[in-house]
Amino acid sequence: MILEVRNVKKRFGGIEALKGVSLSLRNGEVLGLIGPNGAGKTTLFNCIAGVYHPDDGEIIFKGRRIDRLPPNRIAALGIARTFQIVKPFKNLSVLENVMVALGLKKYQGYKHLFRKPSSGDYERALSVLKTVGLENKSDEISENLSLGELRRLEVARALALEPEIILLDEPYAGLRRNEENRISDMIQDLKKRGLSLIIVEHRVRLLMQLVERVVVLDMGEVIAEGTPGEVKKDPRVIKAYLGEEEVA
Amino acid sequence: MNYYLTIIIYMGINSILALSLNIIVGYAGQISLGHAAFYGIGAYTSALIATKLGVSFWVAMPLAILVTALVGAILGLPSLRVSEDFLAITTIGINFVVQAVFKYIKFFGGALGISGIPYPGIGKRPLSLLEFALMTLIFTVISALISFRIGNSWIGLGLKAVREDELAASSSGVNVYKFKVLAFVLGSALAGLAGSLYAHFMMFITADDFGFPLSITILSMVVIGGIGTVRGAFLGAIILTILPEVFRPLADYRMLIYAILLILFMRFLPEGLVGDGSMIWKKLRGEA
Repeated sequence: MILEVRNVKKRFGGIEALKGVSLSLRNGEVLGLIGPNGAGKTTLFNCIAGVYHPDDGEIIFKGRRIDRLPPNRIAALGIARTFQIVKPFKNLSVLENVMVALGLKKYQGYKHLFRKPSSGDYERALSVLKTVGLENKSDEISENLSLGELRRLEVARALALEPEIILLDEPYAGLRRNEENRISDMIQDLKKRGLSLIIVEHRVRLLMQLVERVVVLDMGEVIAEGTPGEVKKDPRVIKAYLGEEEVA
Repeated sequence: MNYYLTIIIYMGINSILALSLNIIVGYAGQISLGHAAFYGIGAYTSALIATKLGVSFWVAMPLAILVTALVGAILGLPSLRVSEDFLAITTIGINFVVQAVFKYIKFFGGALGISGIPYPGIGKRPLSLLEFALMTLIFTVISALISFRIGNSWIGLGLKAVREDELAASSSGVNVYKFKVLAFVLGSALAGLAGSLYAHFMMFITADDFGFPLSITILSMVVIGGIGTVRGAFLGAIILTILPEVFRPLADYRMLIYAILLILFMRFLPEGLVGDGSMIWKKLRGEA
């Protein structure tokens, strides 16, 4: 197990967003996380990534508790994430966006802070952009990219952290068919690199082709878990999705 | 001649001030409407150390930089809790409080300010006006080089990431708290240098020299020149130093004019005159 979420609870005011969620991610596994709107998927991501601290429960990454650490520490340990609503550094170039994440180790302490990035650092950033097919856009101000390109930039930024786990939050949201295919290819590529992935996605059909195992959340609880084939037939899952989207 | 040298000295001090605010507002994106407070803290620290301990400018100035940087770290702490409009209001508050402390506490000279601040010299001989102007220019160039260095190094990347999106920055490994405080420390240190130069040039300071209107003036320099760039801070400082000299009859309306300029630039030319992406800068570089 590379990541274990044990009985995590999180409430916002009167709303219990997570009511004791447990799941685990094996090394090199691609795990799908699905559920209707408001099921708690993004809240769980934010707990793992350190944006929220759970009210109860533990999150363990490679044997170490991380549920009290801030996002930058979790990124440094090896868990990267993308955002459902893309968050580019708008006024920075595509290359600079990746450079920010490449600086991960330089931001610790004060020794490297006032050093300039080397030409090797820029080459590394370019090679990361190449893996997501954005090398031709490296000098573009990121604000000018299309949504599909921004989603790939998010992955590039995550990859620049050299993580072991990437949390992908709705990588397909709002994309056209040809862009969807590019994202699928990219995810297959991440898989080949041996990265462990958790993918939150509404587009269940796309997701089922990518993942080995699915966890279904509803109302802040895990209601089913298994291979895509098993989960599709689970009556609780069908009930949770009724009127939402056909599980196919 | 003396008049022009004096203007050059003001230009240099204002450039350092604009550069220092640019680190906080331009690079790190932390809006500050109270920058005159840090300028004042630098001036008062230098003046107090020099007059009470009887030391020269050369001893007082580095200490003033150090103290101002330290106070900057403390007064920068609110930026960890509040942002944008609320930070703007908080920094205005800081400006008024700091000014009131200078004005109403006897230790700081009270309403009479501090006089008899030693003018810098070499050995027993005081600097000539030309020498003071050259010294100011040297410090201005050093401040510009520091700003460039910050902008082009890892710390600059981290600061700009914080400016653009705090959550994405933190998910990319940037310790947002540390970088915000660093921005205030570095910006305040340079403001402290400007304050020290001012105090020892004027040889007499009062709390009114460091009021809220000056904070607006410094912010106007940064915005009009082009926020986030060294050249913009320079150009803004030069324009807003010369303008009041040329339009002396309009002196009473200065704040009104700055306010109108600020609004017009924010609305129609947010990149400033020579900021990244401004038409003028693109033309100068032959891109448009």
